[in-house]
Amino acid sequence: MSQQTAVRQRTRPARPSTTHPKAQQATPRLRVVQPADTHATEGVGFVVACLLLLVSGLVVLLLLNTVRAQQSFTMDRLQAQSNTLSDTQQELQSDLDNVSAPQQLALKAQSLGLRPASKIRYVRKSDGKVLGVAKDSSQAGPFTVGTLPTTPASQAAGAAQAAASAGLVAVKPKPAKKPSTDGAAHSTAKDSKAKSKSGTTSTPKTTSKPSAKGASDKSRSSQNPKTNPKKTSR
Amino acid sequence: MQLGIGNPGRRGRVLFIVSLFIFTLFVAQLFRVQGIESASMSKQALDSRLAHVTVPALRGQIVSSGGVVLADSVERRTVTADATLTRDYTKLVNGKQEKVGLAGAAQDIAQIVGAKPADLLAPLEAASKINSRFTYVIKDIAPAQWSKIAALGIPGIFGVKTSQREYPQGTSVAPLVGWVSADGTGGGGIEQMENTALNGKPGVHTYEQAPDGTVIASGDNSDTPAVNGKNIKLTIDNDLQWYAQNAMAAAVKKYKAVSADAVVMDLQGNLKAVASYPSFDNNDMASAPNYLQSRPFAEVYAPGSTGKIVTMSALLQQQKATPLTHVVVPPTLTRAGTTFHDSEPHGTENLTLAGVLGESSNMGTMLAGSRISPDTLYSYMRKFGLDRLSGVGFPGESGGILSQPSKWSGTQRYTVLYGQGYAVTAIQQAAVFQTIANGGVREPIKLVSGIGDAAGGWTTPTDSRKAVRVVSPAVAAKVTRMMEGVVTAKGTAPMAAVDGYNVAGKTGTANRYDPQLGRYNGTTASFIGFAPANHPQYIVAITVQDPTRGSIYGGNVAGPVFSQIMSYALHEGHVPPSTTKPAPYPFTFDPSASKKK
Repeated sequence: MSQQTAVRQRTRPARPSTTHPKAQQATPRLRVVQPADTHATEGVGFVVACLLLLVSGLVVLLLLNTVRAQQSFTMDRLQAQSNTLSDTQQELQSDLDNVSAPQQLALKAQSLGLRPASKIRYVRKSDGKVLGVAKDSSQAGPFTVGTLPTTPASQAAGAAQAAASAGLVAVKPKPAKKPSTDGAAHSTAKDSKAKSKSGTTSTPKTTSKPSAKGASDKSRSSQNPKTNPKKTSR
Repeated sequence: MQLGIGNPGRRGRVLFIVSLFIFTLFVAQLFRVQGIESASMSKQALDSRLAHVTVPALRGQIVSSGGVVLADSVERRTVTADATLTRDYTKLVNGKQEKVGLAGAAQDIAQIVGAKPADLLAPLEAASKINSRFTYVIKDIAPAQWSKIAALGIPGIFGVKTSQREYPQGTSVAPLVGWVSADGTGGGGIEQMENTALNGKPGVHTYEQAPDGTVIASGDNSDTPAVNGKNIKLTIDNDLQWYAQNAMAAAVKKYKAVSADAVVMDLQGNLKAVASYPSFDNNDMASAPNYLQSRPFAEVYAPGSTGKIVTMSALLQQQKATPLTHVVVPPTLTRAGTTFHDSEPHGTENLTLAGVLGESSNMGTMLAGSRISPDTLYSYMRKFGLDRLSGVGFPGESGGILSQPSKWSGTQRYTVLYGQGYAVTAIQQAAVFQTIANGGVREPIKLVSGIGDAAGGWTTPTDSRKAVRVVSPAVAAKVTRMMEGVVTAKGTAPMAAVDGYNVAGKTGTANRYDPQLGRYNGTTASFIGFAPANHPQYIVAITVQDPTRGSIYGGNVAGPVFSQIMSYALHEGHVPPSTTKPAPYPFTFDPSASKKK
């Protein structure tokens, strides 16, 4: 190997001596390329294309981002709207549930002067025949409402209850005010609940019916004296 | 030492190598951040922006058989504050930007929620004093109110989603429906019984937020929706429930009683009303009294004469007697060393078995009932559902108190015949009458008729309990006819009659064990019956504990209340009046005629 390289090195110096005269003899084949030689437009086109690509890319990106942000805002807005609507619905439903509780209906019916049916006639639909007449058993006194809460949170209701169960008929719970106070009572915290409910204390005016009590006492005294034997062992 | 920096060539080379080295470090770091650890790095960055909010699941509704809402969950907001931010609250006052601070914030919020500004200011100031970044301002406000507060743009004021339980009916169903305790689980009644079905699964809302807490509009956000709890539909008829509760309230006041309860069920054992008075307001548990149970399930009492139905049914089924069996009742009777007498002194009476029941003679029941052994009587009591839970699973339910016949004392063997010496719940005792009304078949007591499914329908809960035949239809019919005599003028409860309908029932006046005094004191007045007798629709059981005014007897105290509730139930259920007249058995017999036999 070293021998071979040695040989090559030895032969190299000879080469210039053989080629040099030739180059000097021929006309120069290489020369500096002038800018004028190339087509001036080729480079510009490329740069413009690059710039266009860049700019359009940026613009598209910007547009996409804008649209996305826009959608996000729209979504937020619609979501807020949907929330508001469902809140309203819930609130109204809650109010509806509250006013449709039987004791509220009973009080309302009473305030409108309604009474439980004292007689019910059963009629057969097909031939109109009267099947029978049922009388109400609770005619001893006026119908009273005694199931309203007695907790401090609803002292107003308690007052109405006391009035109702004392044989008085609760009258005039201001119709316009009642639903709104009820709604507020359930939509606010406890303190305000107590406050808003106690606000209705004065609303149910009462009218006494002293005759009712006497009647019920009488009916009690007239009951059958037969009594139930009770255990008296031990 | 020569550094060689004077040589421009060498200096250039050194600078080149140094900057190359620095750039290499940059590249290495870039490679590490973007290549090797890119996933964990970007996750860390995202995590610092992400916020998680728990979306509470709404608890299921409890509705009556008619779909009236008895318990409902509503969305609420709890307002919290970072007082260190809130104290810098500025707003436009008369066209000028002014710093109003905590007082201004409290004022503005109070106006919206209708509270006192001072109440809201106190926690804010307390938090501000110690530079605390968290305090509650007000709890459970309506979402609409919160959105108004949010619109004010007060710094450091936040709204947290919560849910609140509402009971539109309040006191009239409170002991039955129960309440939800602070940790969100049912604290009693149906709320506790069906807690698993009612409770939902909370969801999570995830979003990207800026350091100041505002939502990044273009950021990622995802939702794991909350799964709301299932609705529960009861067998309870809401109107009837309220009517019964109202009647109980009136009865307690009228008779100055300790408490009163009513049970209404249909022939299939579906509870239509379970009233219990005194009640409480489950919307406001803070001021509720100590006793929160549903009395018909939880309170045990000696049934008294309503227990004679078990004795009579056993006698008839065992063919030891017929409704017309002659029972000669002496003025007094000595058994097991104790002299018994009826509540009203009387001479020797010639009663039929129907008469013994109709006039509720304890001695007559003892004489006739002695024909069956204590063990046989016990087996009938068990078959009628006594001394065992109803299987409804109601929290705090009692199975009653009834000892084995071998442990019965000398007198107890006789007192058990007329309903003294053991204890039952109103539900159990009502079930005895349901059995007779239903032709001798005791149906399992039912309180829940359906559990809501996702499609809005109802699935009937699975029930392994089966109906039990206790007595034959013929015996049930005879006992019913015997009970029709109770509400006649000769019986103990003419006041329990319902105009237009045939009623079969039985009074009960038992010695009441007073747990506070630790001895017997006062009475338990009850009336249990069903109507129409020939075609029963409803079973109504009224129990009044310790009536002290007017009367102490079942017929006089519970009878009229029974009449009211039964009348209402029949009218509301569109049950036409009875067309046949009741034909009770004769109460007495002619001793001279029987001697001839």
